[in-house]
Formats: sequence, structure tokens, C-alpha cells
Amino acid sequence: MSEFAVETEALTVRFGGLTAVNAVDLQVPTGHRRAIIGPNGAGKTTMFNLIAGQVRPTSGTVKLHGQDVTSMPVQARTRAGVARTFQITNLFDELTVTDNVRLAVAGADPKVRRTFWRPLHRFPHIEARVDDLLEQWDLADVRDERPIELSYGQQRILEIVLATAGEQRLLLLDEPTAGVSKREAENLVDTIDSLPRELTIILVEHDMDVAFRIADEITVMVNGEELVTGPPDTIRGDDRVIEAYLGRDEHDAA
Amino acid sequence: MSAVTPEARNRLLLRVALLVLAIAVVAAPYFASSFQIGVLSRIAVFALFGLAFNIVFGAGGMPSLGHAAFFGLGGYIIGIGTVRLDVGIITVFVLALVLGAVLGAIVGVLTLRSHGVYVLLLTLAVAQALWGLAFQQVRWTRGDNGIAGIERGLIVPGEATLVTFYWTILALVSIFGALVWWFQRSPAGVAIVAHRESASRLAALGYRVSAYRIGAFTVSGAVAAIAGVLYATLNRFVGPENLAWTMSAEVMLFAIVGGAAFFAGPIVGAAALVTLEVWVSGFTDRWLAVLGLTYILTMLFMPQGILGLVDDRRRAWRARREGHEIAPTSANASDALTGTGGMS
Repeated sequence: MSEFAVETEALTVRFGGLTAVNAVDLQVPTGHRRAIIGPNGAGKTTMFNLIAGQVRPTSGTVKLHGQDVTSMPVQARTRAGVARTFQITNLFDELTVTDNVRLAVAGADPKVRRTFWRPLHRFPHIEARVDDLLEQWDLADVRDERPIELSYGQQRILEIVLATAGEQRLLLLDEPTAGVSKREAENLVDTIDSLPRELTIILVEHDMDVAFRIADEITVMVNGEELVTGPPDTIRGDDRVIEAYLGRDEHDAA
Repeated sequence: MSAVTPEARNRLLLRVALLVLAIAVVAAPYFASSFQIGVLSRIAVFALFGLAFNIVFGAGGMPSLGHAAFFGLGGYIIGIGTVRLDVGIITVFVLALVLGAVLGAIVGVLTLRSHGVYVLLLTLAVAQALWGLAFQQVRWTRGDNGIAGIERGLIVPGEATLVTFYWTILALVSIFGALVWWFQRSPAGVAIVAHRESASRLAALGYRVSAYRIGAFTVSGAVAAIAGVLYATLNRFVGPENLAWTMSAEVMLFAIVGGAAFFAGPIVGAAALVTLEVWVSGFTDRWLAVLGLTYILTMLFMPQGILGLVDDRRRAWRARREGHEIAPTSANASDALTGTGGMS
């Protein structure tokens, strides 16, 4: 087993003439929490999608826990232990909260996932886990509601529940607090903070407070390239970062 | 717990009503005319066809306009199999299931990368190709004349009368309808609905989305072919019209008018539209015009179909009792047509 949950080598993506990500070597040790920040168009989200599998690189490799997954589709990476949330809430709106969670738990179990003759709610081991998750995340009261009937903060939490239901080893969070009210954002950051430490977390975040609070280390990207990686305190004082990012976009720095 | 809540009472009432309805349908031969028994048989067969179709349409959000292909395929299997060749009835059913499933899988693969109206066009093309084949391969299908003389007695155990035939149809429709119900509640069935809501989320949960799309078409095709066998037996005839695009449009209307978001939607739709057709035929033979008008009125005044309307009333009633806001209603049937139902 590799000591790195995620390791990229010379990762490059070009969309037509635009080089979105240019020769990035990212190394995230297992169990670490890494934030990727940078100004708009820095290639954060593309980097994120490269790790999750939504985007394939033009060149370079992606390794997860030592395994080369460069050519693996999304669902195969999920089975290899990768979970993700989406920037825009992405839930099964017409299904109940319980069914959302059931599908997530069942997704990690190939035998259940492929069953087409037995009702989804008749798998005792799935039900037990679903009940645990709903209790643990304070969603038991709304289990029969549909996601659109929840508050936005609850929807974001449900996203994290779905992503981590299969006992994943790597969690990718795409701007987890985007669009959430200040109070709910606090709650959400606490929630993320309370996730088990074995879980490696990579998050792309616009809100600097959130990034600095959650992350052990921060990678700053500019123009598709990795500018610098280091602990929050170092990043805060780094001149290049201030020039490239904080200096140019003072709103976020505030 | 307190005494019986109004919800529990309503559920009980609904169950009793459904039971009474089921008994009435089974006992119909004791009080209905033979003409009415014929109409009920037609409704039952179309209900099964609609249930099969709705796996792809209502649940999967993929608007197929080619389901006549499976329906007609089933019809020609029993037609060619029992009239032109000498194939046993069990073999006919197995062949219909297998070939319907295979054709379904092929259509599923063909439409894998398409959404909305493109699914509609591709499925239509497949059905039209089959229609053309049935029309031209006269040696097998007798072309435009079709194959007459399909024995109703073939599917009836024991003595074949109008009544025993009706009960056989009811039994077969119930069995295959129950299988569809079972399938739709399974992990695979729920995943098919989830794929309609968000394919990217489903993939991120570890599901191979394409397999579930193909699976939906496969099961749908197999059951639709069985409905086609029953329809040909009911008419004692199969011809190119069983494969016509109007048949595909009609089954889509069963789902839309009844309520595509509901399991029972196509059953209600088939009952409503077949009854309407029988009634309208008393004073005009322009059934397609009436059908088109029905579609327009449905879209205008109850886009979620008859059951959608009932469900809205029920929600409003509950919300008034609880003093809540009315919850947003379920997806429009029209979402599947435009591909806006969570496909973004």
C-alpha cells in the first residue's frame, strides 16, 4: 500500500488550445486533508475532475493508493474507494432521503447493486447501515421527505452522506459550502471536521476561511500550474501567493 | 399510539376500494356483456404493454417512440410460430421473452449516448425498420394481409370460451405486471429511476449507468413482447399495424394520461383511453384526432396525468391538515420528452 492516497505525475490537460492543467505533480499522503485553492480559471476544478475521473488527462498519470487509475471510468474509481460531492447539489430529487442513502450503501455492494428481483428495502445489512447513517447525521426525522424539501445545508450534508456511505478512503469535496448560509456553513465545516481521520480529504474551495480551517496542507494553483504547497500558516505568509491570488482578489482574502 | 389516523383510514379505504375493483374485474363475466368482456381484455393487454413501456419512459426518463417494435415482435412470434410453423405455446412465450429482451438490449445500446428527443427518433427508426421488414418479407409475414387465424385456445388451459380466455388474459397480465412491480422496487429498478434524476451522481456511487439503461430496455422489451403475444391472440390476428408508430404513440399516451410517474399510471391510462375509444367510435371514426386532442388537453390541464391530479389533491388535503405549505409536485411527464428531467 502506497503512503499516498493521491499521486499525480506530470498531469496535463488541454482543451483545444487551452492548457487547463499543466504538468502538475500532486502528492497527498493517506489521511491528510488537502485544500486546493487559486483564482478563477486556475484549473482547480479540472484538477478535481481528473482525480474523480470525469476528465481524462492529455498526458501524465493519476495514482490512487498506489494504483494507476488514469484510464478508469468514474464508477470504477468509486469502487476503488473514491467518493465525491458536486459543486451544485446533485441528489436524486424524486426519491426519498432514505432511498438516496440506500442506493449509496447498495452501490458499494456489487451483489445488491445488481439485484433485480428483490426489493431494495429488504436487505437487512443495507437497512442497518442506512439507519445508522441517518441517525448519525441527524437525518432520521426527514427520512421520508424528498431532498428538495430539505434545507440547503441539509442537502449538502446528504451529499456528504451519499459520498461516504460506501466506507470510502478518499473524499473529494467540490466547494462544499458554496451557496450555503453562514450559519449552515459553520455546521457543515464542523461536520467535515468530524469525519474519521482515516479518510483522506481533498477539497476545492473558494472560501478561504473554510479552506484554512479544514486543511492540513494547502496547494495553491495559478494558470493550471501548482504554485506552492504547504501548511496554512506558510501559505498565508507566502509572497508569491499574496501576489498571485490574495493581491489580485482582495474580496476573498478579507 | 393514538387511534386510527386519517392517513391510515385513507390507506385502508384505498385498499378496500382496490380489492372491490379487483373482484369486480374478475367477476365481470357474471354481469357484463360479451362486448364489454372484450373491451376489458383489451384494457388488460394494453395495461401490461403500458407497464412495460413505463419502465423506460416514466421510471427511466427515456422517451421511446418505438415500443411497437417489441409489441409487434411478440405478435409475429405467435403468428408465425403457431399458424405458419408448428411451435408449442410455451416455446412461443419463451421466444417472446428472449427475443423481446434481445431487441430491447440492442435498442438500449443504440440509444446509450442519446437523451430526450434523440432517444425518441432512434427508437422510432428501429420500430419503423421492423415495420418495413414485416411489410416486405411477405414469405414470412404475408405482408400487408397479416397473419389471421391465431387460436385463442392456445393460451387457455382447459376449454376455451370467451370467459376462460378473459380469465387467462387477466392471470397472465397480473403475473407479468407483478414481475414488473417487483423489478421496479429492486435495487436495479430504483437505480433506473435514480439515473433519470442524476446519472452523474449514480456513477459516483459506483453504478455503471449504461448497464442500467440497457437493463431497463431489456426488461421493458421482454414484457412488451409478451403483451404483444396476448394482443395478437386477442385479435386472432397480427399485421404490420401491430408494429406501426401509432401503436408506440398510443402506449406513450397511456402512460402520460394515466400519470407516468406512478406505477399504476399506464393501467389507469389504458382503461381511460380504451373506454374513450369505444365510446367515441359510436359517433366518429376519427379516433386519432380524438387521441391527439386528448393529449393536448392532458398536457394543458393535468400534465402529470390522472393519478398526478389525484396525488396533488391528496397532498393539498394533507398539507391543509398539517398546516404546511404544499410540497412541490413530482416531475412532469413532459420532462422525459424534453430531456430536462435531471439530465443536465
